Amino acid sequence: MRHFRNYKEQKIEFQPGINLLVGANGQGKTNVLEGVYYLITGKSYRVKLENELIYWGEKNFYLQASFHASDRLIRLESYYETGKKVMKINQLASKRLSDYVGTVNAVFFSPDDLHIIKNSPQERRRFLDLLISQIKPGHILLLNSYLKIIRQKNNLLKKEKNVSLLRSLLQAWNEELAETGAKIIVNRWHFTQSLNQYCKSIFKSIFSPKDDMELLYLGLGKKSLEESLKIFPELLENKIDQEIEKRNVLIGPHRDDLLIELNGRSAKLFGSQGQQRSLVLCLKLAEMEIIRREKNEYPILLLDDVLSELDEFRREFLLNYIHTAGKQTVITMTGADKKMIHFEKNVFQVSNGKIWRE
Amino acid sequence: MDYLHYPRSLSDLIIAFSRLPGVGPKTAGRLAFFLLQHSGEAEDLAEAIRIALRDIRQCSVCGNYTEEDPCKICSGQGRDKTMLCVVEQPRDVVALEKTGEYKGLYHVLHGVLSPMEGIGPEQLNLSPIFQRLEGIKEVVVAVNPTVEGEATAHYLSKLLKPFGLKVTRLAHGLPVGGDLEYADEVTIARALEGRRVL
Ligand SMILES: Nc1ncnc2c1ncn2[C@@H]1O[C@H](COP(=O)(O)OP(=O)(O)O)[C@@H](O)[C@H]1O
Ligand SMILES: [Mg+2]
Ligand SMILES: [Zn+2]
Repeated sequence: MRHFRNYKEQKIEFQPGINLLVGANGQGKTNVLEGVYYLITGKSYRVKLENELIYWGEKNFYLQASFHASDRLIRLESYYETGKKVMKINQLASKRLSDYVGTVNAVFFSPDDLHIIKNSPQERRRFLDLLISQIKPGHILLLNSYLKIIRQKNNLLKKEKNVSLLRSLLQAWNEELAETGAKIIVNRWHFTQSLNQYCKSIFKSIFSPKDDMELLYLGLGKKSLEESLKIFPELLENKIDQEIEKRNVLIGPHRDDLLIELNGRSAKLFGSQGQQRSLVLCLKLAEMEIIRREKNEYPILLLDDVLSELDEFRREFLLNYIHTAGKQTVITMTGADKKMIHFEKNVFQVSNGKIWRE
Repeated sequence: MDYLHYPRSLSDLIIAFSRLPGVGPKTAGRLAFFLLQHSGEAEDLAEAIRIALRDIRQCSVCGNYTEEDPCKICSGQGRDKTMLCVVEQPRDVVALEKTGEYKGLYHVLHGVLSPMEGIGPEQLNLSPIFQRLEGIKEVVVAVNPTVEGEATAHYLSKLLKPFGLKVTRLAHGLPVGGDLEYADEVTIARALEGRRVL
């Protein structure tokens, strides 16, 4: 890392298995995870603008790491300077983000991920879309096209005053929206099915044997895929009058939701804090399992400050789960929590933008 | 750019160049200085632009660029007058003509629908199509497979429906001779959707 967050220049050699980043608050632990995640996905999960990632007062940042992925060594590089972002795989610059992501995989888990359950549907769609994009890079292109259609359609609704012309133009854009939107719904629906399958068994066997959980993708508010796809064109047609009145796009997968249920009830509305925590953790572990299934290899697991949030039972389960499959994991924690880990571990101390191995 | 340091007419020239597509301020400056140093080339260029602007107009039938009206294709013998191919730009006509495969007529829209840029049907050479449908059996919609192109194709095919013609769309697919690995995922997915039985 060079000029990344509060690091001027830093090199770390993470080991296979469990790696701990230990230090007081505000020393730069999360920044390391952010760097690793940025290098792997081309995005920060915390900020939209790369500028915030640059060491204050500097003009650029540079990240580079070598990974053992599949049976080879992959070197990822990424740098950013005055609005220009370069991502390289084995020294070759990628033209598009979709060429880059998915080369190496990571799953990030932070206490903030409780938002996936608690906040608006947008967070849940984002979670799904990020997962899908890691496995099917074409999903990013679909989302981009879809976004453009929505933008064009919104512009049309705001600008065109001739209502009968507006109506027939809307129908044309709706056809395009239905086609692209349906592909997005199908992708999200299938991945929800897979997630659900893994989540259910992880949740039941480990977290809470008495309780049942269920994930449902609500495409256009409908629970079955066939139904959503069947009603889509008709729904678009029926909404036209209302859209003209509101001058706004009212339906499509950009308003869909992922319903997370616990014993048949919405976990968002009725789950306790503890249950919600278990559910997010389940989602993340299921994400890991899907990536493993698709890539024949576990992703790197990045856990930010999560151990202290879990009770002893779940913490032990999580650590055991990581340990047994030999997944490479980086865990941040304050010094006091270190004792909680009985497994073999590699400890790195973090203090004020400097890191050294213990 | 510090245009203020240049004489007025020179900075005007640089600005004019930098308005061209693909020309940044640096290149614009380089072109302007080159022309000042090579007055022969500069005169030729000015003359060529002047003549092109004077002599080239849009064909009143198909909208393609032409010196005579109607254009050679529209008035040409040996063209299949039952087929009409709708394209975005005059350069698409050139691309199709170069294949030597297509013998029908053309219609040039001069753009595609894009509400964001304020382009609606009125801004396109679109409604004249409907005066040309007599004797036409098939309309090939050959706009580019962008979001805007697709919406334009949907709009057009809906308007053409009442005429009872065959309306077709160019197949999307992989560039021939292009490597599968270099095509983007959506292109590959579309090519898969449009696969044929062998
Ligand atoms: N762009 C930046 N340049 C320099 N320092 C930064 C930058 N962004 C954040 N910091 C510093 O990084 C520290 C926070 O690092 P973080 O990794 O979140 O800490 P923690 O160890 O608690 O996880 C803060 O001291 C903050 O001032
Ligand atoms: Mg932190
Ligand atoms: Zn013509």
